[in-house]
Amino acid sequence: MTETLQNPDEFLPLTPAVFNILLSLADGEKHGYGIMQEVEANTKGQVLMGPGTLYGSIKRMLQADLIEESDERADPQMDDQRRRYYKLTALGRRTLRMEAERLDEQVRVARRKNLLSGSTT
Amino acid sequence: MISHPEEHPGVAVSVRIYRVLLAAYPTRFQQEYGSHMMQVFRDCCLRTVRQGGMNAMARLWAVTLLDVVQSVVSEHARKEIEMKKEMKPQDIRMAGWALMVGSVVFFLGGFIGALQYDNWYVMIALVALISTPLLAFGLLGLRRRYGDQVGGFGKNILLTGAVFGSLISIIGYFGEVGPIDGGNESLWALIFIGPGLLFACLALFGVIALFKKPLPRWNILPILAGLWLPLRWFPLMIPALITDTWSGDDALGIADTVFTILQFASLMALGYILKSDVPEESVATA
Repeated sequence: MTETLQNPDEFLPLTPAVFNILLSLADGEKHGYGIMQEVEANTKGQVLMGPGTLYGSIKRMLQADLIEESDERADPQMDDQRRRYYKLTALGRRTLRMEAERLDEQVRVARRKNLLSGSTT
Repeated sequence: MISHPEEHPGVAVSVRIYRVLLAAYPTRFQQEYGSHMMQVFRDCCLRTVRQGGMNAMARLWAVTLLDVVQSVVSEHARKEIEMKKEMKPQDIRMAGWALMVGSVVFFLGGFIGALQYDNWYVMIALVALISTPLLAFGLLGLRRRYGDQVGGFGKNILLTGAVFGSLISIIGYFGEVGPIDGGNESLWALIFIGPGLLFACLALFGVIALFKKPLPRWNILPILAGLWLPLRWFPLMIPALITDTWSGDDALGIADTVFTILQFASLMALGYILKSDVPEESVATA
């Protein structure tokens, strides 16, 4: 299996688009527009992805086995059009966890240097 | 199931324009993701109209256009990397032929249009639908063959001319004859601004070629093949696009004719060099 052979380290650091897409899929599968909405909400509108960036990233993440297509079906919350759903692979989840740990370590450094509120002085 | 409110006319027009813009992406990407991208864009439009009305649509379009430009360049650059593994010598030869055939069709269209005004629609169809895409393919062939010798700017300028030159011309054509906006008269000038941009990018590539000399001979050709028509057209077409009135002189002067013929001959020669200059190792593996 590709997943067991590939090392998540190869993908780090992730681009903001890839990190946010993986993060949006961490709690379950979503279609393209669902991913876009969640990224916008998670970043309070600071990361705005257009359809081109979204599907360009999805294409590369599929090629890297970070995500996989689930199936194509209608979203009962939207309309009766069929939509393609995506979900994390095991490799994608490990990569996301490692990137989150890497960012967490960066935040700790920032805190140690008294750059954040709640820092120890 | 929650049904959509009656679709707003602004949404329908926006989706149609977005569908045209999708033509700028590489074909394989477009086939795989085009319908999903349109679906997502339509969802964004519906939400924007519901929440912020037509003013918010202007902001959505600003974000979307930036996204289209960034992702089109990115996808073509990635396609280029893949093509380096896949592109066969006959593709470079075909790009040389495309430059030659495209220039013949282009100048034939201009000749037919100048001969009789009634032939206007034949001329714009030849220019927008046949000639400009062929010339764009020729520019991509130049980029593939000589890109490594001219550096990043030279490669990007050829890509910009090929993609946006043909796209602008096609948008102008469909704007003029109807399908986009029921025949928007102000869009007709785009039919010529598209190839004008393509030629201008070829001329800029020509400036770099003068210094880096990527062609086996006659490195002056790209600048001669690209410079004249943008100089002739842009001062006329851009005001015409803004005011929707033509204030130029349609009569061809002697200098105009000479420079136009020189540009045609240079394009033909450039195409001939490209089709004849396939790398030896590629020929061996062909």
